[in-house]
Amino acid sequence: MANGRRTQIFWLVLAAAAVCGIAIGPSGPPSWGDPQIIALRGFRVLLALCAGAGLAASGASLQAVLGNPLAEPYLLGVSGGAACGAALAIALGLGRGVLGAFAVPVFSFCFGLATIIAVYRLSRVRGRLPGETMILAGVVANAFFSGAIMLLLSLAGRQLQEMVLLMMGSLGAVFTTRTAPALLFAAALTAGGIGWLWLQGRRLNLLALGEPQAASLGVEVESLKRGVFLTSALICAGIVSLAGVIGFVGLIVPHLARMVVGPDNRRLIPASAALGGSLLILSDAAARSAFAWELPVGVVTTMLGVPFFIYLLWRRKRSAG
Amino acid sequence: MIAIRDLSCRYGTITALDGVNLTAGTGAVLGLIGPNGSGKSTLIACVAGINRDCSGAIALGGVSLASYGRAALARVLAVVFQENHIAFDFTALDVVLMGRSPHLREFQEYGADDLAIARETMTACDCWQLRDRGVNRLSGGERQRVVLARALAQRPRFLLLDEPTSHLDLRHQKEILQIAAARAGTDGLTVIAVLHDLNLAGRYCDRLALLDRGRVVCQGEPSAVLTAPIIEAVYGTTVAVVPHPVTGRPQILA
Repeated sequence: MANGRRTQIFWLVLAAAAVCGIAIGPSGPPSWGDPQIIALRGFRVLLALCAGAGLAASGASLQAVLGNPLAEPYLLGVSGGAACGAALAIALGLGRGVLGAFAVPVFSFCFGLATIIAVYRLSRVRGRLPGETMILAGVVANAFFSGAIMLLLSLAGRQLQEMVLLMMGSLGAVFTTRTAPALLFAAALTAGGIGWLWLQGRRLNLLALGEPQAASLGVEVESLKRGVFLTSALICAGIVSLAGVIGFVGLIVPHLARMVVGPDNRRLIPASAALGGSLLILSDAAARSAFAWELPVGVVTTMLGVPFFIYLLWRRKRSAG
Repeated sequence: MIAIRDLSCRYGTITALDGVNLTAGTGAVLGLIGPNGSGKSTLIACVAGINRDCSGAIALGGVSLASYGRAALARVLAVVFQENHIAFDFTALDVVLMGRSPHLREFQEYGADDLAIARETMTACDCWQLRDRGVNRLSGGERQRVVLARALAQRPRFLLLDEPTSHLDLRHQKEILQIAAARAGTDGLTVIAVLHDLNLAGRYCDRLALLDRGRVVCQGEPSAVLTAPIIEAVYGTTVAVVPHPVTGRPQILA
């Protein structure tokens, strides 16, 4: 019961972060008479919220499905695959106009889903999924996709800037009346995806016992896994096609949330979503006001994520040895 | 009652089970024994509905296994597996409550009656005092008692145990089998247990079935199965069989 109250704290943090996100910026707090700045920052906060919440919730769910606390859309190569798909769509000239609002996310989704299935198949050893082989498969996928994106970059002309932002992870996409529908569509997709993952909470918990054990408790394991892979790929595609690759959010946030609310996915998934949204809103607020120029938010999360990943590896090594 | 008729299972060119006929009675423990690779665990996986690549007929209390959906099966049949690593730090009570999951409707939360059942089975398995401990911080014997309590919390009519006592010391081996045998008697459970230790099998099982290369070589009372000629023929080593000084059950000396 105490854990139930703890979950509510995350919602308060999220609300506070959203207010900060709108108030903070290079031009200072907006006066309430300046609806343009509020709308612009509001869009940006909404994108940060979607990206943070979506990546964190899919990280938590992938960890449950794969029984591995290192699973996360970026490390598994899903984000990289989605970025490659988006870059391809842009390179093919499909990124323009009304068609672009759909072609880019659709390419992202197909590549992201193909990546997660390939990584899963590659790293499965005799029915189990050892963390090390999974990370290795993710590294290979990421290497392949960054190579493919480099190739597209070298061929690109006018779309170069757009592709570079995809790789760096930036919330700086300029929202106009033309791109706003894409953001709202991605937001709806993310919200729906997180909701579905949340509803799977009890089944995801049973997977912690192992796949045959979960099956013996009535879980249709294969269809649950397919559902989580599909949903994660959808969420990632929506985020990546608008904000590019933002790494490590799905790794850091579920870990921190788990420390507060415990491993129960019925609380962990909403808590991760709220904390992930807060983290990204605040990281972005810092990224665009700490320096004279704007830092891509993907750089900020990577700087936070790498030490955290090293810490997790070190702790695993200690507990194994 | 679990009735198995003409059960066969092949993995590629390997025949894991070859025309097995077995009956496990209500309120009794049927022990499955046999050398490594004789098909014991495959048999459990088939009866548990996890291995669906088998031919033949399995009936649970007269109802064909094939007619059960996953969730419906989980309401009547529980399985304790050999490997019980649990990812993430759930508490012992969390794990036992998971046994109530098949009885909940979609999106229903665990209720007071689920907690009462969890408490009852955890008390029976002597692990209620461990309820708030992280399950991965328990010793092997404690964890296996929690896992057995989880299986009993399913309120099953059929209980399958796949080497539930491997990696446990003598006291904990005996405890697990004593609880299972007692439950079989009081709740009218049908229990099938794969056991490696022939002496424990002889001590706690009402009937034994000896498997070798996917076939049932011999089944019956422990005293009929655990005889020197049968064990020597199947295991390929010489043994001596003596009666247990207290229970009179057959004991194998290597």
